[in-house]
Amino acid sequence: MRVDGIIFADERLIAPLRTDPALEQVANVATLPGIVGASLAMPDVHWGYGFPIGGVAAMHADGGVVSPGGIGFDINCGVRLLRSDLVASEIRPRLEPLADALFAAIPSGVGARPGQRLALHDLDEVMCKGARWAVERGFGWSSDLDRTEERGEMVGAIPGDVSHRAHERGADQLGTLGSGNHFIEVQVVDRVLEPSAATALGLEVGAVTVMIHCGSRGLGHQVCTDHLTSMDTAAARAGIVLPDRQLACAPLGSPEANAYLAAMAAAANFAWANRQLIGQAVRAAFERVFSTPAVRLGLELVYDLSHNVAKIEQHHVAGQRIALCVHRKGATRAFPPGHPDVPAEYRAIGQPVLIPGDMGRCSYVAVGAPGAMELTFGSSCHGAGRSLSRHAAVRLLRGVDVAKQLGAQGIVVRAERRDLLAEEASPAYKDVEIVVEVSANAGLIRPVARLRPLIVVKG
Amino acid sequence: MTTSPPMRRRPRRPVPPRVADVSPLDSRGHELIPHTADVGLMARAGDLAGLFEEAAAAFSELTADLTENVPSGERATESVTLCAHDLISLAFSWLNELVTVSELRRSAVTGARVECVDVAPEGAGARLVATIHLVPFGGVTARRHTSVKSATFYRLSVRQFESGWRLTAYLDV
Repeated sequence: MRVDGIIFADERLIAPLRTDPALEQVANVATLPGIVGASLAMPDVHWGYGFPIGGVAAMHADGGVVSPGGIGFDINCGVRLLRSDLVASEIRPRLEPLADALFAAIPSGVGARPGQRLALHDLDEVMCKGARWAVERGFGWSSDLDRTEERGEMVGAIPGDVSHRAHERGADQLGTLGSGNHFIEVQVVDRVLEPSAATALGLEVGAVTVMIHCGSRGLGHQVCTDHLTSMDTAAARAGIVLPDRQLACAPLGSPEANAYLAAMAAAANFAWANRQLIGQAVRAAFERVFSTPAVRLGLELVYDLSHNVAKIEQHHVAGQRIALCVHRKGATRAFPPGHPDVPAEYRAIGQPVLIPGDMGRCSYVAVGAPGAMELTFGSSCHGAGRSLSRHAAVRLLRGVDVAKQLGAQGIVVRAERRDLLAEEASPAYKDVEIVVEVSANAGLIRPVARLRPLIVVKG
Repeated sequence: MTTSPPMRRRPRRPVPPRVADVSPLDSRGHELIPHTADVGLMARAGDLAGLFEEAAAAFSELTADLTENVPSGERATESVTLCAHDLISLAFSWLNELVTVSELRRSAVTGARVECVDVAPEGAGARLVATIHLVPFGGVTARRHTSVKSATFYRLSVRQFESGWRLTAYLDV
């Protein structure tokens, strides 16, 4: 190990981790060339591949490496949150038709949009412009871009570094949710913990919100696959000895690293366009069900963030300001108040940090805190983090109708495969309340509001 | 390799007959391995061609629920030739080929016939020629199960034992 591994946890979170392969993965990441400070694990850390999920590693921009395994296959998987002027009592009588409208409007599962295949030049434009591509075509409001990380458009994207096969996989998947842990939730704010920040974010107790979790679909998966293969040979050529081939990497500035970062940015932009389109489809579904324009419903974007990406950022290390390539795999950027990369309207409160929990309990909205810059290169948790494998969750919930159970809690569910809901049910996840508490106690975030699910749409 | 119990074990589905099957039948099989966020698979067979077929069978079990009898009119095939710089990379490419073909053809992988797996000595390259068997999703024959984003290099191994070969892989789902 070139540096220490640091895990942010309390006794409740660290106990089950003591025998978890995630610890070995934290140690493996600490061997990568050019790593600065420590190999970090956020409180939601769990077993992944290569990097742990919830892993953060910053590499010297000069002399360090970039590792696609430190970003993951779902490049720019992220979370988008919309708020509204609706309150829970207005929406409860229409939960069923709203759930149907959302499920019908946004293709889920591994499906594509049949008959809506993008031409190659359009797809390349999506990969260059990101969310702006969608807004320019009427799929969204200009204010959406102001409230999206990187304005939904990562610079340096080169579609030419994205393979033909990745183009093929992405051509008919724009505006689709995907499967696994991806979801759309209609929620209600049930608790405000920091009123001034909540007001700045447009959140108040009783208000209805919509949370969207998805990424770059097959296009991003293929980008990672392609470049992982090229870096596998590049790492060997550079004499980099790896404890895990999934950590394949290339020196920053090398042709392989440059090509990956350009393709990663292209995939990240695809993901931002994807969430932009889904967000607009959500607005349209609300408009149909409530027969009211989305503007009048106040369906504004709160924020859209990425939790699977690498970025070149400036950080203070040992009293010096240096450029680092910060890998966040299942970790959210959490810049504090005053940081120039936080949107102007949120600069006084810090970057919004959106933390999905699980479909039966709650999610959180927080903001970045100064401790994040001191301890984690401006990062925090990205969710609750899984605690059970899919198999274990299914075994635990054998005979339980998860949708019915959620229905008894007043939560309406729509899913591509109702019988697979057990894989994503509450017992499969850590308690997000604990994860948020630990993140806050470490000084990484300040919790702002808690959100309870009303509708869950699963891929 | 994990010591966790097998995740699911079903009787192996019929695989199209191989041209020259020299592997002892009782050594062939596959298992799905639990993983907190993703899924692992382990395949075993008497020779490399059988091993890669078993990996395809494991992939099929993970990703699709199939009826016992597939109408011949629904069946389709995709021929592939893959080259890689070593056997591990070939396994990575093979599993990812299954992911991509299934996604692009919107079809379930029902199995594969691997014609040959050639491995040059001392990591000088590896090559696979195979036919992937498919049936379209959306009909009564095939329903989607777990969606796979990609195979990974994490703990990916292809090892020869006295009794045959074993492949272990983890897939991002």
